[in-house]
Amino acid sequence: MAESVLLNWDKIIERHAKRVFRVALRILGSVQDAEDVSQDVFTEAFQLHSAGPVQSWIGLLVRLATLRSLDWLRRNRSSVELRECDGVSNSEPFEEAVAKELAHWLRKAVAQLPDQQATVFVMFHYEQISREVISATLDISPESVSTTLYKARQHLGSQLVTLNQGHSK
Amino acid sequence: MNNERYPHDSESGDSMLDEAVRTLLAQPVPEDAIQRVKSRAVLLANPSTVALPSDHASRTRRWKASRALVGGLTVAASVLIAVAGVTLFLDRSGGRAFARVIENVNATRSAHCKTATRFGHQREIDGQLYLEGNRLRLEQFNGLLIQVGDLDQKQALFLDMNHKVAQSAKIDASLAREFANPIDQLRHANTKNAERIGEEILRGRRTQVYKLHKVDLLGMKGDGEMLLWVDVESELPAKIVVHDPDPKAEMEMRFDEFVWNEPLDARMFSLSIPDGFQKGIVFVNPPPPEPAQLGVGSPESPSALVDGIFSSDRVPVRIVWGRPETTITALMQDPESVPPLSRRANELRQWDVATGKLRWSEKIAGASSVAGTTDGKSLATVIGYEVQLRDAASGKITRKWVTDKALSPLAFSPDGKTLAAGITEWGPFGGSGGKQSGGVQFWDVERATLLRTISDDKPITFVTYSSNGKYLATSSNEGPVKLWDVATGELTRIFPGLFQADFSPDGKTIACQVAASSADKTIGRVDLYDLRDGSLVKSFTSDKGVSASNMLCVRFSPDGHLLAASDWNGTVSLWNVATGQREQTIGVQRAGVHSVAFAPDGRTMAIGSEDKTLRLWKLPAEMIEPGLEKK
Repeated sequence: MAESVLLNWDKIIERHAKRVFRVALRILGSVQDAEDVSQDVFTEAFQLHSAGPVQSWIGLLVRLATLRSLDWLRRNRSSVELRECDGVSNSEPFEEAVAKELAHWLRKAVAQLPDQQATVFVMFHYEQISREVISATLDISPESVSTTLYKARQHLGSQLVTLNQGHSK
Repeated sequence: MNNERYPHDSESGDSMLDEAVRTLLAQPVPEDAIQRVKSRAVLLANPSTVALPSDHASRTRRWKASRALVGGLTVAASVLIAVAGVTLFLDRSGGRAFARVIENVNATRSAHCKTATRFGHQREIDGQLYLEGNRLRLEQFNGLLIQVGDLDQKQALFLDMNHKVAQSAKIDASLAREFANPIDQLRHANTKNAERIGEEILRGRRTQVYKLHKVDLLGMKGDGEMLLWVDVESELPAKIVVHDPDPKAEMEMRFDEFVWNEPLDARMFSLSIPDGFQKGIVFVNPPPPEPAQLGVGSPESPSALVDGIFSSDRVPVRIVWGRPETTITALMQDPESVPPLSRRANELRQWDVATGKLRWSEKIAGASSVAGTTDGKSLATVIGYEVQLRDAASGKITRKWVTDKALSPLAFSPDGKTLAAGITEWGPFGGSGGKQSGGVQFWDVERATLLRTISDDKPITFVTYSSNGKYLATSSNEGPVKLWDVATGELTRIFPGLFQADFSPDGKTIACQVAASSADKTIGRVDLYDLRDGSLVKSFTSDKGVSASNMLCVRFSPDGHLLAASDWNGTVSLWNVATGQREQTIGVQRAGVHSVAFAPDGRTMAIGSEDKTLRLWKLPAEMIEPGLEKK
């Protein structure tokens, strides 16, 4: 393997590990799962890196982190839900419990989004990456980013309302 | 009573969503976990030192994930193999894919194309065909004869533009033949009569070639054959050739340069007699022949043809000058008008420039690329998976090796030690399925060993080195042009551009031809970019052509003073790089120009065109850099 590949790899990890882990953690809500997913993401990214140059590391890693986290969430939904519900303790202040539950609902709703919508939503809202950068890194037009984001927000908003109303019944 | 956890005030859930996002963002990110992620990821680059995680649960989970991954890959591979088998089986007839083409044709609103009709050895009749639904307009003889027909109303109008005579007529069975057109034939075609016979790059676009039997055009009474070049992107015909299989008939109609779904002016299909026209009988006779051309190019052309025409039987699609400019080598192929199955093997031919004599000729099967070293001693070709190095003096193979990828475009590094070859994988099913891929392989010419591979997501159809060998530019047919650092294999810049590009000899800029973006599609454009910051330095626009611009090749002169671009609309544009002014437009007999190449001394330019000619042009002294003139 070329030495430059190895040299660059260290820099890539240093620069992007936090971002990858953060995306996974925000989607999964579990430190342990986020660590495992992060490792899977870097394993996959390393294979791509060895095969040839990557045009946008942010784009690739955030996309991989989002998709692998969603895969994980969809595969292990029951355990995640159990863990999250355990977290909502009756002894916590009301506001804190509500906030935790809202976050839990959001994770649940994001897991139901189509992959592209989930990726754009995560990049824009979780990682606060601009529309232009998302457009460039995902190789889609800025208009498409806006449309996808709009659809994702509509979908998530209605899901949250439904979950909230469901809780009241 | 409202027992909702979150007292939202917006039915859209927007405020809840924003609140939920804020909550997630407020979640702390443990630094120790990030360090663990980093340390594991670093070990990926050095697998021998990878330590298994001490945590048993984590290890088990990872093993399960790997097993699931391997299992998933196995299943996916099995499914892919099964699908591949089925797809290959189903696509053998091409019927299913052809049905999609017919569906797409039926769904189109309008079309226009160039037409060319030939009867025996008579002069070819050129024209333009416009179609919108069942209305049609055919302009022939340079627009002097116009036929307009409405097949629904069964009404026609013939216009003699020369004598200002108009004739209305009712379309009966015999007149209907005048309005028979390939699109109408396609709308009613039976997919059982279609077979796919191959794949071809047609002016830079990838096409599937179909043969449709039992075509009924121009009195062929169901015996005709139609060849269709279908663009794989749009799945619409890009070119159609109809011919009578009876060799005595010698009849052929070509419909080329299709433009689909572009709005057409409704007045084009008007059946009213235009103002200033008299009613009368319109004779469908060709106008008198045009006066013989004095040489080639515009009359005021300052360039002069030297040493005559080198080829008259095959199309020179790639040109390599010898060093010094005493020889010229070209990759020759049959013109597009020859159906793919009837084409002969491509050839490499070399001529002596001074005498015009053919020095040698070598058959190279379907090879579509040739590259030459800067010292002029070696040539390279690639046939399928075999790379061949040739002695430029004799054309004979001196070394060859086999690759694992389908390669096509070639370029030698300036020192001649490395050969860059573009990977052109069109997908496993001839373009109707599977994933395309591309990239570049760098080969050590001396040892025939693979030095490096860079990957790309599109088939690479063009490669060229910068003069200092630091950069390699690649392109796919539809673009973009990508700039790679040869030493590291890194992608450094992406430029909007199509087909081909060329580095300036000083290594500071790159010229990329771009799609015609102005309202007038007959004007082509080449953009010059600064390699350091990627900024656009200037744009060069072509003269207005006789048909849509489709630039195929762009080249700097050896001193970087001139820039030339060849165009499928039959022109070669020459610009002064410093001023951006167009110095000259050379017209080449209304045939597409594939290739252009400056001689190493910059005084002569070779042009290879679809009319089966390789011409040498002597450039006027005032066009050549003063420094060169003194030599």
